Amino acid sequence: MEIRFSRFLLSAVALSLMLTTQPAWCATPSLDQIQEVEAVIQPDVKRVEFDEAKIKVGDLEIIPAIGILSIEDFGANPVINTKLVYHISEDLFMGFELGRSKAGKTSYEILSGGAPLLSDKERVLTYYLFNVGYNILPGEAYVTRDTTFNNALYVDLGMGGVKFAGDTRLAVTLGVGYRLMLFDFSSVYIELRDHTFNMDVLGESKLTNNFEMNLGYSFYF
Amino acid sequence: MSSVWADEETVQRVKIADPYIDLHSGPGESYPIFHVIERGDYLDVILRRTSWMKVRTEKDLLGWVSVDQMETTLTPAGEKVEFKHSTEEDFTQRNWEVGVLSGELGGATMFSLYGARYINRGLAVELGYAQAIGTASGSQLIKMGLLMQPFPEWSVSPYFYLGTGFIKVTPNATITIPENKNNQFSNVGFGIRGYISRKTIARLEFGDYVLFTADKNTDSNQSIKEWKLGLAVFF
Repeated sequence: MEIRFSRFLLSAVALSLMLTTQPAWCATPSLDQIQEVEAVIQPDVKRVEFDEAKIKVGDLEIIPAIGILSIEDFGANPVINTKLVYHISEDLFMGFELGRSKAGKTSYEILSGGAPLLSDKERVLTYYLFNVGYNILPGEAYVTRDTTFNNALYVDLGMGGVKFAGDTRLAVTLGVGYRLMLFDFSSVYIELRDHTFNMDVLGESKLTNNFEMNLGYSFYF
Repeated sequence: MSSVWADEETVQRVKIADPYIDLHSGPGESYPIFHVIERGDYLDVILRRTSWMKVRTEKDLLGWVSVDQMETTLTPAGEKVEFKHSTEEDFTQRNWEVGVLSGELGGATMFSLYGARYINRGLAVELGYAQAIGTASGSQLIKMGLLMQPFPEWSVSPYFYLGTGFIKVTPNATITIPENKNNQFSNVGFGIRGYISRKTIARLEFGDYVLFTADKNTDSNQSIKEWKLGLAVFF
């Protein structure tokens, strides 16, 4: 009885298998099916339209900076300036900048104890410069084993006007600077420069060298 | 080091079609090639600086590829990638121009800043500010004029300038008793402009200013000569 029952079960299973299993020619998937399967696997790769306009460009840079300006005969004083730079190529850039400082007293004024040479308003020194710069030593700074920043040593030449002691004077500025590119869209700057211009505040006209050292932080846009 | 501002959604992806592409360690030809990426690999473009692009590879390497090499890549859809190049043709079809010039105005060193808007390819309206720094006096000028270029399609193109404006002359404090003078002037000039590269132009101009100084004391107008040379950027 038991044997008969299991035989019935077996034949039932066999019959159901025969009914559900498809013939061999039907087992090979068609081309459409393959593509469908691949389409199911692929969604990981995003089909994004390429659009150049969406690539961020950083050829313009604004650099606010603070530092020290030594005004010949008038002592070293704090200075603030802001530079707008356009990078023409990987090596060459041009810029425009504005700066402001305030002169201290000359030794003469302190020693004589007499009337000041300049009024408070005349002691304010402002300058504007048009610069052209060149990256002479582009390189890399290895901060730790895994952290590397691009950097560059550059030289720049500027010409412009310095307004001081009631007059605007022609200034020629030579500078050397260091740029450390900390992030994709900002850099740290250290710059040393010499503003040369004629001054006649103390009687005769003479060419003065006015050294400036500043620290800046830039934003590219 | 990852980008602070680049958000993933706007990252553009390209596929390498050339046998390989060089990955430089910085945005310049002098930076060493530290890796090559092979055909069929993908690159994500993070940013562009001058003619270099910062990219991220599939293996998360960061490097810089020149735009020239990037142009040999394909979009994920298989199309050729093309990047904007400012060319001589863009120069001849520019709409805006901003520049700085330096030179001499009546013997004094002069700096000027100007902006021009092109009405058509041959004609532009220009607005400018200039400062001249002399040994005895300084002056400030505001001017406006029309600029005509007969051959706008030339990469080195001559032009004529016709303008008017105001000049304020301030004698230097230590030399004479300050007495400011304001005068209107007219200005004619001619010059040449030449395309340098990308978006930059060089410009050289010679000009003549006639200051309307004639009044009941003096019966003649004053003439001042000028030359200036400079750089400009166009859009």
